[in-house]
Amino acid sequence: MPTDPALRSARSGDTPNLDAALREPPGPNNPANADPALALADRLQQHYGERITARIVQPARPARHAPFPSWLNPALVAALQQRGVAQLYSHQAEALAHVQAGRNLVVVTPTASGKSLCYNLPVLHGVQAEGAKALYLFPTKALAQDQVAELNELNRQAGLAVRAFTFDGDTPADARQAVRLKGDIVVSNPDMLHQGILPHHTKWAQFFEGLRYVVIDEMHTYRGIFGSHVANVLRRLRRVAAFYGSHPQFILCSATLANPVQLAEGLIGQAVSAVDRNGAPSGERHLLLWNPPVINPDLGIRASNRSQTTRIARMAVQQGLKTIVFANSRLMVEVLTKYLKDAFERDIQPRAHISAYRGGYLPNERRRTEQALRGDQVDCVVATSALELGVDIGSLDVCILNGYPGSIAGTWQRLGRAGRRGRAALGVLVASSDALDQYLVRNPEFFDAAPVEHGRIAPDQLLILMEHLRCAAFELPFRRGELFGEASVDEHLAYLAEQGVLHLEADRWHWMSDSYPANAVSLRSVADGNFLVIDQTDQRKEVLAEVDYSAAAMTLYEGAIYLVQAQPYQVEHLDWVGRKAFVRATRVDYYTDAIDYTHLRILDTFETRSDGAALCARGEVHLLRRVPGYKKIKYYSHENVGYGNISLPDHEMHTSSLWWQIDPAIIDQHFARRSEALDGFLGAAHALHLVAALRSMAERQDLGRAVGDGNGEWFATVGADSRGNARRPDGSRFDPEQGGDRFVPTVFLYDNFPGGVGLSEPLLALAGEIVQGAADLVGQCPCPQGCPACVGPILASEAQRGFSPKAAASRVLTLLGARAWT
Amino acid sequence: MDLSTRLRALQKSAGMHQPPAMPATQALPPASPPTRSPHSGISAPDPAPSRRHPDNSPDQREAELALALQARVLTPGLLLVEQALGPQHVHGGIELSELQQLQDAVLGMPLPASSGGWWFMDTETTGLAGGTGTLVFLYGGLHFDGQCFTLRQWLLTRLAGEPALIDCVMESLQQSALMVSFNGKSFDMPLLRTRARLQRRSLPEQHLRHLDLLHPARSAFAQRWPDVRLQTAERRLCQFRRVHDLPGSEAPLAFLRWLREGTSAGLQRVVEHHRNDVLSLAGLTVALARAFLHPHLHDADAAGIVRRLRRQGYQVREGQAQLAFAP
Ligand SMILES: [Zn+2]
Repeated sequence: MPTDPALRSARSGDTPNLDAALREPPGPNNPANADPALALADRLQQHYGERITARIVQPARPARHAPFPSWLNPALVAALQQRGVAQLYSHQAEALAHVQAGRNLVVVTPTASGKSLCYNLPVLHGVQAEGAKALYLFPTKALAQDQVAELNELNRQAGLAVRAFTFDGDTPADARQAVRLKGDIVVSNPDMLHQGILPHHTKWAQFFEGLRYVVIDEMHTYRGIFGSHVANVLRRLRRVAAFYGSHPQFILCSATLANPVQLAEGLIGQAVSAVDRNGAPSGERHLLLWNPPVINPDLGIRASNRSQTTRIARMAVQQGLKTIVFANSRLMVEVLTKYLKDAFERDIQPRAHISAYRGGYLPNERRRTEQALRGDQVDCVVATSALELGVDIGSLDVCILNGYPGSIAGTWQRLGRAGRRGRAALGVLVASSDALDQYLVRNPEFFDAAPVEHGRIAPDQLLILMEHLRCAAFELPFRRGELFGEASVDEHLAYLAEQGVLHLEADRWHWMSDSYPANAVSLRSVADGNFLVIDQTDQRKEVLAEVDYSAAAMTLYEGAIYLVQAQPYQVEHLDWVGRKAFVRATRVDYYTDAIDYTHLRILDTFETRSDGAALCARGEVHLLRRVPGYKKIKYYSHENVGYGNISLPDHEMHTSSLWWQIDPAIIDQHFARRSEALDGFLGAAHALHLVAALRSMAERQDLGRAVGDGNGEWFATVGADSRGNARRPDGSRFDPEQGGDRFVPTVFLYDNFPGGVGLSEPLLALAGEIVQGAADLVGQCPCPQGCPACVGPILASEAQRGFSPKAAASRVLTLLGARAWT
Repeated sequence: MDLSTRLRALQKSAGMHQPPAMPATQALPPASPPTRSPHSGISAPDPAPSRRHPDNSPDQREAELALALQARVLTPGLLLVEQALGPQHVHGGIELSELQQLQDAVLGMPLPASSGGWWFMDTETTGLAGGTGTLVFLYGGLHFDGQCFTLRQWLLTRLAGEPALIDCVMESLQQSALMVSFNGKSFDMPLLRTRARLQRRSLPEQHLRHLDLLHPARSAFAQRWPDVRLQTAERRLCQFRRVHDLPGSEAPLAFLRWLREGTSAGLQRVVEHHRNDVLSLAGLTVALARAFLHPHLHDADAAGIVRRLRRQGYQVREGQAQLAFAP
């Protein structure tokens, strides 16, 4: 794993594993690779060497053990010994020591390293010794149920009388009282804590009085808007616990991130110690980065990753290797399962057993598949992220990822599913044609060096904060001057009093409204203006999805193709006022892309870094978005096959942004024509956007991108002629050559949420790396003049324009890439 | 930019509903004749403070309210309206003294021993949402010791009075053996427990039996009436008709208006409404007991009554138009 210093020191020695493997593929008679998974890797490399952009090797690592601490309840020690656990791994012992010393803790270790013992042991010990209570939070109900099963098992083996229960939306009303009164360990999720527990905390008085531990697993999922909400829920939790005299200790667990301590401290608002030296053993692990072959060199089109994935999985199963294939959508799970079943249908060999596993299947169907996997009755399972975590499916040899899962942390979690004691494991990441996939397979260092992904939250984002202040005031009155997070919130509370929601008497604000504010706040979105997508196929009238207000104009216009799990639906009617879009399932070979006239004006600059020629800054911007029409774009070829008009109200918001600019004089020096510079900025923006989204772990739609004038006089889009062009806010053309002295094209990367959710601030600190990454992305792309994977899907090529958009983008990035920023 | 301007801009760009400047106050019905506050309702979204009574201190306003209600100020923020009713008090068509003649087990609930009293209890709250944010601002009931009826209503006039209110709640429960409510098991008592808990107390309930009239009323009349609400029951069974009653749903607004503006007219009507509620609880106990004994005389659902009693472990014999039951 990347964070492991043992691995890094091994790699910084004189054996560059990656290079060695590429230079000298071990032959079939190499005795070192008698291991079947590695033999498969060798065969793949022999046959498909040109598709494999890197082979990353993590050497086997021996276990590092530590004795059970002397204070630990002997019954727990005996139970573990009975399971064959004679000692702890070093990181488990380290975690126990931190918890025993009363410190908050974040445990950052890979999948299958026994991390749940890091919290279960001290918690069970504390419950038994002092009658302590614990609250566990998991992002999903399924993980919560697995954890209760695990706790009950350990509890039974140790002969303890600790009672662990789940408490979530599925808990029957008549069982809830028992959970509240008798539960020693309550396993729930943040949404339930927010809506079901905190607003009724008096019913949980005994639980809160005894609350000593709060365990938060899968911490890396609490980032962005969701994370910002969860941080506020945890502020409320601490406030309520303090009312009952409790100041619980927090134990967090996370997948590998660049900033686990920072994220943990942001979430819980307290100092946190880290345990990140994994002591669990692991076999040798090889990761192949696989790029499907180019089938149309002119257009840069590659073979589909589905067919590649099917082929690799088939080879693995034929070698007798138990295999898991991860797909990124439910539909793709079905498609790949069918492909694999068809493939084995044709084989003469004994029939292989292929299973699909995804959300949407009935629980007992899933349990059957899990059992079959543990019992070796299944050779290959095709799954969504539903199988990424928790669920026990026994040991596997090969893990194939059909496309990048969206984060490097998630990639490692899935790859961690393969690996048996004493044997090597093989992972293959099969890139899709998506630009980010293409970027990653060309940059193996993302999988090999220190982690680059930052989990960010902005708990003080004004809209989110106000919603949770209402909830908190409902739970307990606020004292004047009371802190919520690190700041006094008197001004906010005074505003709520003005709104008639709170009443100030003496020095306290009291909730004074006939409503239940938590019900109006969803942790998974920023505001309540969401649109419902309603499927009216066959008179069905079912709600298919919810779309944030800020994304609605771009995705739900009439005529839009709206994709759910890769199934296309066409929007037939949009009720803007009623916040509903009516769609019908359709079969088309194109998708739609809204033409977005996004116009940004800089309102306030907070911070600037400059080397004289170029600058990078962040601040507050005003955004005005008009969506005049849309393009129909054919799959794979990316051709425009039609246009449609859209008439929707303008969208305006204030948000925070990062931007880059180049001195106008320098632009004129380096570009023959300003239109060429403009194309360069558009292409550079595409690459900068990809790299920034990767670094900040942001969904690409949460981080907006725009190119325009720093003064807001014009903005640039890619027009119907596939050329970059500039328009004024009223839609009229702006000719950059006539623009006079001042021509200041600006790349904006902005928070696509009102008020921002704190994406742009950390990006400024990373600006140097982002520019460098974007320059590499464009520079290393094998296309001649620019393609969808580097400068974006739309810029016309040299033949049409008389110059290379790719070269222009590279030039812009070079000018932006001043060393002074890093 | 100040907070409220920033927030409005954000809410607008998030597509959120724009809150009016003072929604709660605007929703209030006019409480006083226009002559008393000539500016109200004309100059539109005036912030609340300007509508307060500027001359009166909270203590003075409280004293005025106490005078109007013939109440005592127990402590700043808490008033008590206390009134002894004669033993012959009649509510609607029911003589409350009939409570003395009830059988040992009325409505499937053993009667209080003579040492403890009856407590016909009800609350008025700032809302129906439940949870920790709902406040009980009026608590009280009718106490019956087997001879005399005493009406007691505790009214919060400031939030500072809540600890004292909780003390009074606890005392009233301690002095009772059988509490009678309408939907009190699911609404009033959980709310009172929550309020007590927030004051770091817990209510004395061990000794107390609780007869929630909603359930026997449902067994007897759910099949007969369009709904089984307190006001439906009192009209049909006690022939009690309210005059100029403040609808219960307006009680929260009346309290808010008092807190924010110091106007008490609405609050006085809430006290009157609450008084009628608790008297109806006593009247209904008598009327429901009659209906349980003679379902056919009161157009009650005999089968429903029998089911309820059997569920509670009684043996039921059906005579001519009469049920007789024994534990
Ligand atoms: Zn390219």
